Order: sequence, then structure tokens, then C-alpha cells
Amino acid sequence: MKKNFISLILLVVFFTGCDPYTQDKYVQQYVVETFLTANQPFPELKVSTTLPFDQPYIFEDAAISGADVVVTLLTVDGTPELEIPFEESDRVGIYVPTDTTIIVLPGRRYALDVTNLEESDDRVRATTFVPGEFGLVSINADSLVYQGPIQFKLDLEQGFYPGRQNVYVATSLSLDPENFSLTPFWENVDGEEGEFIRVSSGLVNEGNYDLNEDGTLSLKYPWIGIAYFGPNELSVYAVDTNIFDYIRTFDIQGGGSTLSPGQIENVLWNVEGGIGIFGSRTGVSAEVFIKNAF
Amino acid sequence: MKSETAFLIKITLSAFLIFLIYALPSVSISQERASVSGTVSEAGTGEAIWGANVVLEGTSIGASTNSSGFYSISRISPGTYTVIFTFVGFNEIRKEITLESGENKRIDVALTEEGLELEDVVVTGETFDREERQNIGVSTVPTRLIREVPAVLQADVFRSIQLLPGIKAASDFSSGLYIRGGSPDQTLILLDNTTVYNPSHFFGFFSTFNPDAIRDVRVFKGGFPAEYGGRIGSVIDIRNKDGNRVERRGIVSVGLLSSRASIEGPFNGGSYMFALRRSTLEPVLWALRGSVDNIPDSFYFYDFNAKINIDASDRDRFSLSMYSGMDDVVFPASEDLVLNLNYGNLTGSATWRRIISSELFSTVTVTGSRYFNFPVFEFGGTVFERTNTVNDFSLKADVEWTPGRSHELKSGIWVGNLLLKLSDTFDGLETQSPRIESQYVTGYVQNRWRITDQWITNIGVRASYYTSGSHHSIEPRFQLEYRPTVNLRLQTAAGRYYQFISLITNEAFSGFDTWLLTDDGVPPAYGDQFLAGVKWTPTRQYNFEVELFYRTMRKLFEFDPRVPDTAGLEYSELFRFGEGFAYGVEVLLERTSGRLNGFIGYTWGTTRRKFEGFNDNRFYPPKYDRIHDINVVMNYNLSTRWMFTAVFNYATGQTFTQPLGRTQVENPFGTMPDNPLIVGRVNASRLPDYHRLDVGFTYYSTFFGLGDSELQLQLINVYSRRNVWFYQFDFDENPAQRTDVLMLPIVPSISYTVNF
Repeated sequence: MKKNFISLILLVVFFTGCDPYTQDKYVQQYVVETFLTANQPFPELKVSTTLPFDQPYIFEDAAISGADVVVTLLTVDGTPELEIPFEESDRVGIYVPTDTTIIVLPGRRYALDVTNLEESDDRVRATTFVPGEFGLVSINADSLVYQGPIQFKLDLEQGFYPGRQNVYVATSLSLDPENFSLTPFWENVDGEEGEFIRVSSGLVNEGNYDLNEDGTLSLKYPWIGIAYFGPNELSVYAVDTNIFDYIRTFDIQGGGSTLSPGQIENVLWNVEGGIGIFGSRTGVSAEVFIKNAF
Repeated sequence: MKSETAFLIKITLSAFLIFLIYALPSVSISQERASVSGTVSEAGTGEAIWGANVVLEGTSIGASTNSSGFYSISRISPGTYTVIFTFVGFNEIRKEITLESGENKRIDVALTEEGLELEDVVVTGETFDREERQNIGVSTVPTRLIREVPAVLQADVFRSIQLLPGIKAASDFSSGLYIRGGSPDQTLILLDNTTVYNPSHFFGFFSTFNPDAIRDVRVFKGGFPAEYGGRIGSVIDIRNKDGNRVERRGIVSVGLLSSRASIEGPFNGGSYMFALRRSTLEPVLWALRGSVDNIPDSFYFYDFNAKINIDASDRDRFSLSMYSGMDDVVFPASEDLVLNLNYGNLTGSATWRRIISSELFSTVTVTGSRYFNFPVFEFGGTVFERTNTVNDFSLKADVEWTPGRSHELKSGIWVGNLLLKLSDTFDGLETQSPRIESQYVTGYVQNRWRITDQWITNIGVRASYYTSGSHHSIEPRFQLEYRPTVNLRLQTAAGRYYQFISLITNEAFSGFDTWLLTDDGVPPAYGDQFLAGVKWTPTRQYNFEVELFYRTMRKLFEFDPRVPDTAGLEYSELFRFGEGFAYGVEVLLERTSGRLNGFIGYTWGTTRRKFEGFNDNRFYPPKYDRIHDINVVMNYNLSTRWMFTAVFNYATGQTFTQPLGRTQVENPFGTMPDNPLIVGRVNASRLPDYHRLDVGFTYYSTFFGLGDSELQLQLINVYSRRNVWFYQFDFDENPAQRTDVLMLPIVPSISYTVNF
């Protein structure tokens, strides 16, 4: 009896000890990348593949040459309205629109189609809805003392995005980093030369902004969002779902969330047949001069 | 839904009232036969003993004492009997009694510790009762073990619990309890019947419970009976000391991290206990400041336990219990970046215990529990402030009824109000201020039925209702035990368990813990547990236990890590929903007494989770999943003055996610390219195996004739095994480099304790 019991225990441990959840292997995937900005010409578009993690990353090694790249403006019902073909530039894997005068329209949907890849049947597709246009109503100052009593404030019109509230990213771009120094906080952050010329907030829901009686939104720009003294371009962008998904999932790959350290989830890419971003944004900007009180 | 709710409340209240109505007349019903009841306590301290055995010699008639030390044996035929009182580690007491028809005899006894009667020090091992501890799914942690095993910088209750089979630690830096594949929020932590919401100091490094103040630590790893609920995993039931009822005693202890002082004693008609612990890091911080970077401007933690017992009559006892603990740190990470964090708990309870009759015992408790954390970040002139509180006030009433030799019935009701408040302010503007409040009512009935001398069952049901979201639960519980011989117990248990709250936490840092409740669109999590076990005691010295468990976790709800900003979202949009399961085998072999004593615990286990939209909707092992886990705890009495203690732990490496590929993205919101990782199966790889040996020497002496003293010298991680906590990836190098984030190196520790 005792012998049988011990045998049973050993059998259970032996068979259940084989864990079927094993590490899978690297599989190469296509990567597309472009960020459209409303009311701006179509930017360049990259087509490449992923590389194994343990290999040096050099874009040219991953770039795909000779692909057929087309972006299509879609009507509300999803039918093609205008094709915007791309051609490969003089840099391998980087494609530019053949007509550089066409601009990205806010509040419209675009589709990306990449074919003629490494295998003839391969195809990478994605769509984006460019956030609806919104205007800058006013700013409260064009020159401010850093951490002084008055903070920079923007009043914005409300934008539009189908199916959800608007999500924004605020960005400051130093217009003269050569002649002005970093603000004290950013001076103490480890980084490479020029890394903080442009710094951005995380994703901020529209629910965080003050809604004024006239329907406009007010944003008080936090001091933490300004990295350089001197002239800065402060912008607020509404982002599409592809950028929203990319930022919120890329941010947690580095930890700091509720996930255990070492647990990494894939980024949400929203690309069919590969990975990457076919993202879009709509924004407003204003210039402000930040003075150092000391 | 409302009528359904009302029906549920009615059912719960009705069950409780019917129980009371049915139980109360039993006093008269049982008049034809005799009964014996009373309390069992420790002779040295007067503390009640929970789980002592009381039997009538030559019969199978008996009972165990409850948490108040109360026992009752009823419906005994008139006659002469010898009553035997036993408790492991204590000398038994035999009392001859003669019972007349209808007589209710009260016998209170005080047991003396075995070792105390001998001139030499005798290591008695564990001073808790095997009968109780060998119940299915139960472990009891003797406070002596907590004080004696080597511990990083200071003795710790939860670190000791982590040595038990089936219970794992997330890392060397965490006192969090991962029990049978469950996360820490699946374990209910009770201190004197009061829920403790964040039982941690030092951001999770230590638990909040001062071992000098603790009388009992009971761990219900699973399959727990209907009297417990509110979590789908397990229960830690901790009782403060009542206070020495015989003489005034005290403890003063000085350690590297903290120092402790406690005093307890009797007063006319009662007893008291006060215990204080405070970190004593200031001199170290002062010495390091100026020569080492990133030293906090200030850091301290403290906790204070108090308990006062008042014996109003030989049938009524009142007790007041409180706990207060807090951590406070001011940390300037760099110029223009300051973190100030203040968090802690405050709990209190007032309990009235009444022996209504020889068959009926009641407990009424009013509890209050407050958890708070108030972090403030100031960076670059921008201030982020958070006010996060949990306030839980409740009333509990339980009755225990022993109508005969075969049945021990218990029923109770627990009503309360739970208020969770969170307020975030960024740059002077309030960004969110959710406030969730729920009233709750819970009731249970259970019956421990000794069918024959060999067969014992415990059947119960628990029902709960929370007003937030109008969610309710019905939770059947079942335990069955067969005792083919006196020293062999075959057990099985099953039950359904519900949980209405969820915790936002990070295993590396518990200082920002935030609780969330069920509500509209967020139903409670639930799970089923199935257990089977064998408990064999071949001799009085040895104990061998095997338990198998399988448990499910359904409708798990936890904060979605992909939610970057909660403003303007529906409450249900804050969560991700999933499921999980865990199964395993636990083996325990222990030697409870003798010069060499201790235990070897082995766990083979598996746990998995699945959340919609994550890991391609596949099950994955959480980081703390470990296939094999072995703990060896050994005490060796070198002489009358020296004792050697060693703890060895080996475990399969924890899981991590192996990056397989990479790409680069020129994010227009930055200046440097992003380096997204491409991963396959989440957590499908394993870190190197974990192992560590801790040793300690204790020297027993006296302190200038004022009292006994203990000098503890300990070495944590003797051979300085650099166990890996997790991997980080450095993209400044090309190809990206993987770096190991390591756990504790060798750490010496010294403490000196005086008992007076």
C-alpha cells in the first residue's frame, strides 16, 4: 500500500513536471513606420524587418528595398478616394511620396498597403484616422520666468476622434539649444547630448483638461515639460489610436508599471502582416520664451 | 436585482437568527445530561491557548479550545471521568471529575511548558497543537520560530511564513506572500479580527507585525472553512498577545535596523500588553550622508501594538486591541526632484467574549481599519500629490455552539462600510478623485460533525453582499477527514471563494499600494479549491504531511497596466479581466523536539494567468511561479547556552520574458529612437535557480541579573550567492546588452534582546 502510494506520487510529479509552456523562437517580421501630421505633407515611410535581439541593430541591415508602397485616402464608407504612391528614396528602405505637395487631411482615414516584399504573397496593411482639426484659441503669455508665478496656458478648441475621447501629447521643442541651458531638473537627468531638445508628456486624456463654458479646453503647461531656457515651441497633439496604443504599450516594456520586473508584453502595433506604426496626429503650437530667474 | 439582494440579506440574517434561536434553548434541552467547559491557558503567562485538546480518558469524547482558549464538552452521561488537557510542547494535565445529572462543570486549567520544568534548556520545537495545525490547508507559525530563524536585519513574521511549503517570496526584497499560486492580494490578513490592508514596512521589505506582540499566527493556505472569506486564496489570522496574567514581563531588543520594547502584565481584573518598534537607521544615514549618493534626508518607520483585557466576570471578557504603524521617507533623488512618502495602517478592535452557557460561546467585535499613503513628488517645479485611503469599519458577531459530542456549530455575521478614496493632484490641478464606497454584509454557518471516531466533516456555507455594483456570492465549503489510525489522517476539502477587492501594486515596491472595489461592470473574482492531504505522525517527535491542491481563479480583475491615464474613463475601463489556475503538491517532514529539530518543506507547483488581449490570450506563468521549492529549517542546541540555526532555500528560477527580436521607431515626440522589443511567449524563460543559506547563533545568558538575554549573530546568504532578481536591457550598446539585477549579497546581522 505504502509502496503504491509513493509510486503514484512519483508518477504524478514526473508527468506533470514536464512544462509544455516553453520558450518560442525568433520569427522575422516586416516593420513599417510613418507618422502623419495633419496639414503637413506626407512624411517619409520606412519599410524594414525586425532583427534578432542579440544582433547589432543597423537599419540598413533590416531595410527592405524595392517594395510597392501606397497610401490611400478613404471615404467615410471606406472606399478609395485618392491614391498617394510612394517611391524608394536614395536611402535604402526609406520611401517618399511621389507627389510632395499632397498634405495630410485632419478628420480623414488613410490606408497603407505595402506589397512586393521578400515573398510575393507577403503584404502589410494598416489604417489610421487622423484626429479632427482643432485650433489654438489663445495663449496667456509669450515670455515667462521659469517657475515664476505665471505658468504658460493654452486655450484650445475641442478636437474629434471617433469612438473615444481625445488623447493628447504635449511637446516642447527648444528652438535654440545651442545658446540656452537646460532647466535644473533636466540638467540632472542622465541623457545623451541633445536628447532633451524635444521632451514630451505621456498620454493625457481630454478628461484631464479644464473644459471652459465656451466649449474650449484649457491646458496649463507644467514646468516639468520644459527642458530648456530660451525660445521654445510648445505643442499639443491629439493622437490616433495607433500612436495611442504604441506609446501606452511601449512605455510599459521598460517596467515601472504594475507588471512584475522582467515581464515584458509586446507592443500593440495595429498592423496586419507585420508590425510597426502607421500613426497620425493633429496639433497646435505656440512659441514662448522661458527666462531664467537666476 | 434589488429584490435578489434583499432576498440574500434576508437569507443570511435568517440563518444567523435561526441558529441563535435554535441554539439558545439548548441550555435547557441538555439538562438531562452533564457537561464540562472552561478555558485552557499557559501557566507562565496566562495567555489563552488556541487549539488545546480536551478529552475524557477512555472515550472518544473531546473538544479543542477556540481562539479564546474556551472549550465545551456537552451531553455527557453522569459519572466519573478523567479529563486530559494536552497541547504539544506542554505538560498534560489530568483531572478526575464526577458529573451529576444536569450538572455544568467549569474547569479552567493552566498548562506548563515542558522545557520549563527541566534545569537544562530543552528545545521543545514548536509550541502549537498538532491536532489543529494538521487540519487541511492549515499551518501555524510559532512565534519562537519567527524570533529564532535567521532574518535579514530583523525578525519578521511574514519572512518566517515564507518558509512554509506552498508559500513563496517574490524576492529577497519582498515580504509579500504568494500562497499556492496566488498573488498577495488573494490573502486576507487579519489582526485580532481586523483586516490589515498594507502589512508592510520599508516598502515591502518587512511585514508590519512585531513578533514581540504576536501570540498566534495561523495560515490557512487554502480550503478554509466558511467562517473565513473575502479572498479567493488564503487567510493569515494573527492574534496579538493578551498580556501576561501572572506577572509583569518585558522585552527590550536592539538590532541593526530597528529596536523593540514591549511590556505586558496583569492588573486587577485583566491584563495588558504594549509593544513598540521603531527603526534606528538615523545614525547610519547620518554617517553615510555626504559620502554616498542618494541617501534619504529622513527615513523612519514605527509600529505600536496594544491590547487590554478586562475580565468583567467569569463569563465575560472584554478586550481592546490596536495597531498603528507608519513609514516616512524624504528622498531627494537629484536636484529639483524630491520624493516624500508617508504610508501606514491604523487598526483597532473592541471584542466582547461571552460564555453564554456550557454549550454556547459568543464573540462580538467592532473593528476599524485605516490604510493610507500620501506620496508627494516634486520635480522641476511640478508637484504631484496623492491622497489614498481605505477606511473599513465593521461589526462582527459569532456564536459557537456545541450541542453534543458530535457537532460543533459556528455561525456569524459581519457587516461593515468600506470607503476607498483616491485623489491625485498634478501641478496644482486635481486630475482624479474617485471615491468608492460599499456597505457589505456577510454571514456564514458551519458544522463540524464527528460522524464516527474515524470520520469527521466540516460543512458550511458563506454568503456575501456588496452594495457597490450590487454583487453577491454564495460560497459552499466542505471538509472531510478519515482517521484510520490514531496517528494517520486522510483529508480532503473543496470550496468556492469570492473576492470583491483588488490591489494595484508592484512587487518591488509596496509604498504606493492602492485598493479597488467591485462596482458596476466589475464583478467579483471567484475560484474553486480542491485539496487532498495525508498527515502522519509516526512518533511524537516526527510529523509527515503531504497535501495536493488545485484551484481556479475566475473573473480576476486587476488594474490594466496599459491604461496610461484614468481621467474620463468608465470605472470598468480601468481593469483587465482574466482567469488563472494553480496546482501543486506540498510535502513537509518535521522533527518537533529534541536537540536537533526543524523541518524540510518541499513544494512542486504551477500557477498560470490569462488576461484578454495579453500574451495572445494564452495562459502564462507569473514571475513568482516556481516549479520546485525546498526549504530546510534546522535548530541545533549546541549547549545550554548556544543554539545554532540554519535555513536553506532552493527554488527553480523565476520566470522572465526573453526578448527575441527588436526594431527601432523614430518617435516624433522625442529625439532619440525608441527600441521596442519583440517577444514571444510572455515569461516563458527562467532565471538561474535560486539558492541561499542563512545561519545564526544565539547565546543565552542573563543581563546583570535583571533578566534573560539573547545575543543573536546571523549571516544571511553565507556563501553570497548572487541570485538574479530580473534582467535589464541596455540599448546604449549595440547589440543591446543584458544586465543582471541581483538580490542580496552576504549580510551580517546582530541583535541583543533582554527579557525581564
